[in-house]
Amino acid sequence: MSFDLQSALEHISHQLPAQGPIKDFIHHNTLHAFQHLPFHEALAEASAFYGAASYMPMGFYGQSGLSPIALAKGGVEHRENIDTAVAPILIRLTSGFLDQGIAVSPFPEADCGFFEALNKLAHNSWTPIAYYANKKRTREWFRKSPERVCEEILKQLVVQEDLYEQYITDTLMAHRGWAGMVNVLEHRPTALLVPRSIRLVEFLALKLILESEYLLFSGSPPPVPSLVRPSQVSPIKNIHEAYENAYYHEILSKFKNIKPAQQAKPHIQAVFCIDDRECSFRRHLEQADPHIETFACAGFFGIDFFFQSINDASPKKLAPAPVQPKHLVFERPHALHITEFENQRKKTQSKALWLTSWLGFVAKNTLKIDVRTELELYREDDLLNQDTKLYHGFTYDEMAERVFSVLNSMGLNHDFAPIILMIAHGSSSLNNPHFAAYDCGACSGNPGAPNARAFAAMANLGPVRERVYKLGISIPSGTRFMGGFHDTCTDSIDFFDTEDLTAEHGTIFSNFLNTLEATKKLNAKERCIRFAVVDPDITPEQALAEVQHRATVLFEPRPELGHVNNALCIVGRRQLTKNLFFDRRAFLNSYDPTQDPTGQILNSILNAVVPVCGGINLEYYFSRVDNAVYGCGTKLSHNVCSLLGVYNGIDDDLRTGLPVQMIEIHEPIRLLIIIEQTPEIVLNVIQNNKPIFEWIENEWVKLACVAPDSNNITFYQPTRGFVDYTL
Amino acid sequence: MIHCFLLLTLFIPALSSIILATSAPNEHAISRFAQTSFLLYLVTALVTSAFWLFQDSQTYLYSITSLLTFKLDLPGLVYLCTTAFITNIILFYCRRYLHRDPGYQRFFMIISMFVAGLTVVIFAGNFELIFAGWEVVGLSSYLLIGFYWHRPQAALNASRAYYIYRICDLGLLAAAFISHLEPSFNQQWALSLMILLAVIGKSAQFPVSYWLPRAMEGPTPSSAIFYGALSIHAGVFLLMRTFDTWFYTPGFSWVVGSLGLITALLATLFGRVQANIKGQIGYASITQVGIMLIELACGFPTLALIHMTGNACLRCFQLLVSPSVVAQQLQIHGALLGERVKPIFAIHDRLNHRIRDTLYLIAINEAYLQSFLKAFLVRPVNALANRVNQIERRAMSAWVIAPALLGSAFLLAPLSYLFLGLSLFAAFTALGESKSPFRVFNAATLSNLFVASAIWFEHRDTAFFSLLYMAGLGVAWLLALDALRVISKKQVFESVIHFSGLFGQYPLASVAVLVGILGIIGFPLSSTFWFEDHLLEHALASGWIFVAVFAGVFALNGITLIRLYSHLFWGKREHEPADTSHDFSSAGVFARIAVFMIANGVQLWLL
Repeated sequence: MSFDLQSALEHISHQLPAQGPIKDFIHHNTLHAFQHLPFHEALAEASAFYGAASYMPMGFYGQSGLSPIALAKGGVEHRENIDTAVAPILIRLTSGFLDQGIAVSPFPEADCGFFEALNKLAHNSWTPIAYYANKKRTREWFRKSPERVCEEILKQLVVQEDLYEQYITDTLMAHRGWAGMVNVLEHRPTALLVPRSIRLVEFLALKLILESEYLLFSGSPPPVPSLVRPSQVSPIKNIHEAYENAYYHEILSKFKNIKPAQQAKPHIQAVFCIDDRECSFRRHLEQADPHIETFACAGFFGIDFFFQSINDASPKKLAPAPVQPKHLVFERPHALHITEFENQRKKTQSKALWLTSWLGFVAKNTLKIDVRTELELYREDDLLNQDTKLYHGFTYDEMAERVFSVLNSMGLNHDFAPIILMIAHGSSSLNNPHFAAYDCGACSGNPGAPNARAFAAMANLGPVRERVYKLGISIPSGTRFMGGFHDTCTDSIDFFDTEDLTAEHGTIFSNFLNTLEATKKLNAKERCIRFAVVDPDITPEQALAEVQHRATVLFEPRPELGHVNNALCIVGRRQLTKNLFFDRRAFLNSYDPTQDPTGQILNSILNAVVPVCGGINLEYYFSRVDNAVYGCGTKLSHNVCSLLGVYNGIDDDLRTGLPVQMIEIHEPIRLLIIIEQTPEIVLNVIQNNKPIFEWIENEWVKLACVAPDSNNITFYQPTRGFVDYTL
Repeated sequence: MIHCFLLLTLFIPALSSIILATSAPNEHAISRFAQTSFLLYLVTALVTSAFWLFQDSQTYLYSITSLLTFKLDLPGLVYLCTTAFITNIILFYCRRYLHRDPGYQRFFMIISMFVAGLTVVIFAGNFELIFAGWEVVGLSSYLLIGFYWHRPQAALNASRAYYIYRICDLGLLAAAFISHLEPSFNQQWALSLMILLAVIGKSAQFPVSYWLPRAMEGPTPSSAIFYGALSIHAGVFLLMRTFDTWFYTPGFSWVVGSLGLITALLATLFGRVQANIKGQIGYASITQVGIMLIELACGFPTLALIHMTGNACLRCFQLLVSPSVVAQQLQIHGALLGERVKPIFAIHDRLNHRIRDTLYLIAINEAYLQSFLKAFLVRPVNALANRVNQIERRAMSAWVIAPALLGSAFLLAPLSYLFLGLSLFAAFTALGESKSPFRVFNAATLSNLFVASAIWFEHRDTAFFSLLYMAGLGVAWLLALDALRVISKKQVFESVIHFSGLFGQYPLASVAVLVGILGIIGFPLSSTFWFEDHLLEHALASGWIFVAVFAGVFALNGITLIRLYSHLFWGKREHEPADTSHDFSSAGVFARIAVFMIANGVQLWLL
């Protein structure tokens, strides 16, 4: 069998971290490469591969005794020494090439591919690429193609051809943060602000050149490829499952004899994101005023697009990670404010030019243009823009289709209130490179405000309403949609385009704003319970001041706690959950089972909910059980590199996953998805949806059903299907 | 009155550091205590400065004894106020920032210790006191770089910084004694050179600049206070304090100026290619220090003083906000519609391709300086040490040592040279030892004993000092060995050149070992420091060979033992919450260190 570099790299690239540039941190299953295996087996495999723990230590579960220690990679000292020796130059060249705006001197030859740039650099320079490198020999290497370099060096360093792949694995895994970043950028070059072309094989070739040069320089033999260690499921597995089951039991028993809550005639209907942080906010809002009805759907509100605001130089993707949007929308200054906009633009540009790197810290918040704007939503023609390969805007049909499917999926297709609020969320914080990890997961780690605003604007358009009516939903002419934005850190809510409200709507809305004030305070108070430094007896007013303070100080590594409580996801009507307390642990997705006999709506909901919520849940799980391997360690010592990620010191591997400060009080429990639907329909849906079925069958998420009328609870078990859950 | 405040300013950080080290209440109490005491420190610093200003603003000496001589002058007081101001900011910042960090208490303790050391440097009226403070600053720097002790890279970088400190600190040790010699042209040059050596280490000047960016391993505020603000400027301050000494040495300002120029040029080059924010700020700070050296060499100490204060505040702030760089650059990017900001001196666009690419490679390799020093300094010393260690293992130490001791008792004077040789031999043995920590301790302690004996035999009247010094060594050795013995009950020491990460299981025993090490290597708080002082004075009278060996052993032992500490206690992560049941009890370690301190006190009193 001859060695195929391409397929070997393809295989290894799956085991590399899939985290992209930190500015758009997207939660995902850390062990996505192992997702084809059942959960516990996958954990055992990963534990053997990365040398990581799979569960919490015994003491966490209230058990005594020493837990079996995950095998640290042993007997690879020589390998480690070589990796440490070549890391500085490898990382400086890679990070220098990929740099997005930290270094003062740009990489000299960055306008071509990585390896070509290195080739030019090595040829032009009078000094060697590293102190251990022979100038002439390295120039020869760089002249060849990276593929050939890899193959030739492997031939020199490794005796048997069947060990090549293991050797590459070892050498790449020593810098898996960087290798993973290179791999992500190879497949998604648009993730960069400053375009760069790099491939994993080029990174590998550079590593192998440095490695072989170092070996020749130091006169030491090549490292032996490590042995694949056998994996074994840890005995803590059972203790961990018992721990999870205790929680599931507590939750499921709440549904046993639940009576559906009643909803008074609504004056306001508010649609939130499914995010677990909105769970308590909705509860407080409903309790403050029975005439407020709340719903939830994935926070991009069905509007999947690229969006470029007046403060951005390039578009952002505002859609769930797996979705590839085809539309691009620009924000533009409102027709009445164009001169004001021009003036502000001039000012911010001159400021930005002068605020070079050493005065750059002044830039924060002084560079935002703040004028009334509108979105360029409407597109007449049906032409693809040739530059961006995207449709600039939506046609009325496309708008109507999106508005209809969102409203329909939530069961919000009758009894409309006069005002419907679409409330997106994001999080503000200061001095925090992980800011994107607190933003909306359904918007690829961005604030979802443009989506909410776009949805409301679309749903208010006459031609769209006509088309929605044809599709089957009649929105009364007195109903007005409005976009809003919830800052989950400061608990403030802003609304867009409030100028367009009529007088009648105005009174309802101003009453609502009063209710909102009280709600923010109560929600802040509930959140403050989790902050150990805050006195549990503070008043709601003080609590609100506290959470606002957190977003605006430099020295707060925990502006908010993010998804730290997440453990549950409930897909069903609000009447099922309205009177229950979930302690901000539940993702809630509105879904009316009575309107979905075929399961079609459920299918589309699960397509968004399972990867987004499951990804968040598992990212927290793994960062929690072994923060040193799956997480990125403490925030306090992080150094930002190339604007791509964080690491420690100045020559280290990029750290992926979540920092200690985000996960330290997380209870690692796999997500339990509870669907209000009959098990037959659910089974039919998941069995016909292969990617979703993999999550469930392999138990990366757990699944239970509450039957709509009988409240009969069934629990999904792999291979057996739904079985009755006995309480 | 001014004396009273001066002493208060000296004592507050030292006292607060001791209190923070001995009591472990909750975070709130720790930060409240530290903040209060450093607010007090700020007040006393300001009052002292005010007194000085309103008296006559002249350089002012205050002597308690010949050793305890304090000096008040403009650079000192400006630096003092900067220190007080920045420390308060950092403590305020850390109160929340370090919340829930397992090293909360440790952090506040080390910062207090650092300020205590720096205050001594600032007030020092002679080289002995400067040296004492200098060592404390160095140790706290080491401890904070290794704050996240379980990371091997942090442990390595901390050790590297300490090695460089230790070698460069020799400059101050030597300066202390050269300063007592008859003034002459040579003495002036030697003294100035020694001062400059100390400056190079602490302020990361050419050719050892590379340690500083790599030291950004601790929590961000610790990097800010050390490598942005205060520690890095200690060298500049030393040059200001000793301005009259070196500036009027004929030709020496050229040396200082060129060193500053080379550093500034190289650090600019290195800093510009750093794609990480902390490394960039670190090199920027080094560049500015280089420029301050030029200013001083040109005879503008006041300008350098203003420059130093400004740079300290700016770099401190830049480091504190460095995590914001992502959000900030995104905004600049957006405001400029994607155009890249052109740096002020965008020469790289105008350079010839060959020159530009060469400069880039030189810059990312930091001019190959580290590998150069490694190849020509570190590797030969290590090779020699390994060779010596093997000889020693084969020859069985007892066979060499016992007859030497006996023989010397009879032959005395000529044998002092034999003892010098033995001392070096033992020091190299300790450095080359790779397996047993006990052997490292024994050999390192022995090498110090031999030096003391050599000087004793040379000067018979130093018997009293020498014996006291040996007693001091013995106490420190016992303390460390006792702690090691406790650890060895449960732990098999396989290697002292790999990281074992025992700090998790033996946090308190590690403190005892560290205190013992500090005793052996002559750290300012222990009695050995003061005896070392006296011994060196005599060594100086015995000729340069004695001084060279003394200095060599001083540097080697410091490096060996700190390396041992890093390797034994740091550099390995744990999956589990560590089992500390075999560690000392806090009362146990407290009692041991108290006994050690009392023994030291008695010795000093006898002196």
